[in-house]
Formats: sequence, structure tokens, C-alpha cells
Amino acid sequence: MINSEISVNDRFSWKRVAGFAAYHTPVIRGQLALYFSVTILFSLLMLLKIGEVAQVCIFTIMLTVLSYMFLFSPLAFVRAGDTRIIERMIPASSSEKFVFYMVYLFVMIPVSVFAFPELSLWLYTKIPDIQHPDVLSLVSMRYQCFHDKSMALLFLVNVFTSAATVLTCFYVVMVAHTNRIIKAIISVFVIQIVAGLAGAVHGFVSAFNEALEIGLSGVPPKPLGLPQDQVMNIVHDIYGQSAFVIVTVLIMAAFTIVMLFLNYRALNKRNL
Amino acid sequence: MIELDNITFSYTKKSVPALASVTADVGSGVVLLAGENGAGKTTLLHVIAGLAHPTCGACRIGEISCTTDRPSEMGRSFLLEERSYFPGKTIRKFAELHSRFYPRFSPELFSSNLEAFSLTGYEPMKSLSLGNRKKAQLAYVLALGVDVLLLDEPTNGLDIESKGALRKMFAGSLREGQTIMVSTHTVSELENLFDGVMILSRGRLIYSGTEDDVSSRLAFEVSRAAEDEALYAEVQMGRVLNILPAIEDYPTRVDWRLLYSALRSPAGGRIIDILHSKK
Repeated sequence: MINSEISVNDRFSWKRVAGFAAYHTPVIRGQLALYFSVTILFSLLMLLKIGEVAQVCIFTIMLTVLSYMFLFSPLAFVRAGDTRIIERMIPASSSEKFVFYMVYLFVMIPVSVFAFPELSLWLYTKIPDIQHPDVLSLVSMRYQCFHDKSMALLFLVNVFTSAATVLTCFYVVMVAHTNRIIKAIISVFVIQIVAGLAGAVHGFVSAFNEALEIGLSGVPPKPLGLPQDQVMNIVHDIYGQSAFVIVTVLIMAAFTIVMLFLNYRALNKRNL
Repeated sequence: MIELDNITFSYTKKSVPALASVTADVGSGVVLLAGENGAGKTTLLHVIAGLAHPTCGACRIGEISCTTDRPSEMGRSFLLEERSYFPGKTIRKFAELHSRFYPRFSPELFSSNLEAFSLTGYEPMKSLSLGNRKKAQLAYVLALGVDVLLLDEPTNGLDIESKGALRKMFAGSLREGQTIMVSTHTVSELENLFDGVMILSRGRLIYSGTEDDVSSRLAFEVSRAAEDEALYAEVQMGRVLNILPAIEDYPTRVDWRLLYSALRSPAGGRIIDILHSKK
């Protein structure tokens, strides 16, 4: 049996971070195995030659499930008994423990959740046999964030909202005394609802402004085209309100930073 | 070893303090932490373990704050309480992952403790009964080699044989300079091991002292009848146990269970006065 491999000094130690990660092996091994299994299954389903409706169903379900797998990932640290006492007493600094949790939640989990599906989506765009035009246009739209300002802003809003949600879920797991799972799940849905309402406000403001421009004669119908074009028109209308959207991005970024700080403080203060 | 300097702790700003102005110096050895339900024993253990930051006051182990965040100073104490959960398939697997942070962990002592409890350490934790899980945890923490070991109700769930094994383990694993603080309501089960006592009541420290301090101020006598000058008398299994005040040259092992019972009786105030009096 190993007696001690961890150096005992006060400088930041990656060895201690690795030791802390190794301590959590029983937890993270199970979660990563489950996540990789699910995502590989979905990735294979996406490459099947099936009808358009079935493809849309699979893609929609997959993207929803994957996003919630990511958002609920901190729940893995809730065990049947309370392991926080043992974890908080482990002789590693708050910084080292914090680095482990952040690397796990924002590097390892996203890789396990999104790597194979993203690869699968990219392959979808390269294999004509399995493609349907409308689905292909929506899938291709994902890469517009690198070329289009509005899509880039939309991407940033999504990234910060997701990060803030995961950090809030993790914070609840770290500090709640009772019913940690229920409270963490509720916290995720609360942020999702708030973010959704913010999007609704954007939409309302955009529609209102457009109506003001057009006047009482009514808004002319937009020409029908590929689904990608229809979505891009909406995105441009909403996210063309640059100042409003940028404020939203900044608010979500600030919320993310606040949650980072609160999580670090929860580890540092160790009050249970 | 443990310095408690005016420790006050409240769970919320508006709540009654769980600990109020607790000041004591606790030396090495096995120390009994006693008190009624809600006295603040678990809170005090959390403060010493660094799991609760006092609202005011300071707690130190040696010269080092209990709430230190420095890895070189953090491994000096360990708390095992009822709700502690050791993740891992088996206790040995857990030990493999956890003990690497504790340089003075003794694998030999760990194995010996497991053997004393009739465990191999390879039993799946999920299949262990509450008592066996507690035994596995105790076998491990007693081999950690920390300066201050805090145990909250360690005998809960243990059978009679295991309690006997635990008593031997305490005696065998206690290092020089080490403090083992035991919070328990069942004082008699570990009675002969205690070197000192801390008694809390409603968040306040009633008394803290060593066995020598107590026995030099109080005497415990077994007789056929209650003594006139006894502060407190209790009949147990046909014997009369008396606490007699300040009988000099009458050193004896302290009957901790009797003392605790007496402190909670109407005679408690008088007994406290004697304990606090100068020799």
C-alpha cells in the first residue's frame, strides 16, 4: 500500500491536484464512463441513414440530453452519505481543490459530452448519403459563429449561461445542508428559465422595434428559404440589437465570475 | 496541544450561539467531551477540525490555526463523525487513495486494527452493516497518525466485543503528544481510557481539566452507605458511589460516568465550584 506520495509543502502542487483527483476516482470514473457511453450511442445514431423526421427527432433529443448532462454534471459529487467532511479535511489548498473541480467540470465533462457528437455532426456534413437538406442547413449553421457577429454573440450568451448554470449547480452541491440533489436541480431550472425570459425580452423588443419601423401597415412576410436562412433572419433581428445583447453577455459573464468566486470561497471557508 | 481562545460560534447571525466564549487548553491523551444533547459538542469538534470558522475567537493546534489553508499544516487533525462517509469500493481502496495525503499513516497498524475487528478490509463497503462500516473507519483513522483525532460517538453501532477491541486499540495507537478527543454519551464504555474531560452545557464550557486535576479535588469512593460529607451519591448495582469533596492524598481513578451524572444533578453547581477552586 502506498504510504505517502504527496509532497508536504505550501506551494501550489499539481501532484496534490492529481492526488485529489485520484481520490475522486470512484466518482468520476463512473460518470465519465456513463457519459461517454451515452454520447457514443447518440453519435452513432446521428450517422444512420434514416428519414428526415427521425433525424430531426434524434438531433433534437440528443442536443437536449447532452446539454442537461453537462448542466447536471456536478451532481456526481453528491453521494449517499456526506463525503464533504472528508474532502474538506484533505490536506490540499483551496486553490488546488478548486483547480481540480474546474478542470473536471469545464474540460473533462465537456470533452466527454460534446467531443463525439461534434465529430459526428461534422461527419454528417461530409457524408451525402445520410444528409437531408433542411437538417444539413441547421447543422451547418452551428459553424456560423466564426463568421457572423450575431451568431458569435448568441454563442457567447449560451456559453456564459451554461457556465453560470453549472457553477450554480456545483455551488448548491457544495454548500446545501439538506436535499442537495433537489436544490441543485431546481437551481439549474431557475437559471434556464431566467435565461429564457431574457431571450423572450430580446424577442419582444425586436418585434416591437420592427413594428415601429414598419408602422401600422403590417410587417411584410419574409421570403421562405432554407431553415438556416429563416433562423439567421431571426437571429439577426434579435441579436442585431447589439448594445442590448452585449449587456446580456456582460451580465452573464459577471454572474459566471461571481459564481466562480462563491465556489472558491465555499471551498476556502470549509464551513459545513 | 489544542488551544481554544474565547471561541464563539453561531450558525446564523440571529441564532443563539452554539458555542459561547469557550476557552480551554487541552493537552495530549484521550479526552472526554461530554454534554447534554445540543450542548455544542459536535460544533466544537467541527471548529477544532477546521470545518467551522468561529464567529469570534481562535482555535489553534500547537501554534497553528485550526482554519489554516496551508497543506503542510492541514493534516494535523481528523474528524470522524456519525455522518462521515468514506467513498470507495473497500476500506483498503479508500485508504490507498486517501492516506497518501497523510505522511504518518501506518499501513501495519491499519492492518492490525482491521484484524482486531475481524475484518480483512476487502469487504465491499456497500455490503457492510453500520457497525462493521464504523469499525472499518475506526481502524483506518486510528492508523492515520494525526496530532489530534476527533471522534464523535465512536462506539455507536459497535458490539460488546468490538468495544473491547476499540479500548485496546486506543491504548495501542495513541502516540506521545497525540490527543484523541471523544464525544460520547456512553461514558462508561471507554471510561478507563480518559486522561481528561471537557464538559459543555448550552454552548458554554462548564469544566475542562485532566484526570489528575479532578481526582485531586474530588474523591470517588465505593461504600455501603452514602457518606455524610459526600457531594453526590449514586447507587449502582448494590454499590454506593460517593463523590467526596477535596479529600487530600486520596488519588483515585475518576469515575467519569459518575462525575458526568453528578454534574447534571442539583449537586452540579457545588461540584463545579470545587473543581474550579485553587488547590
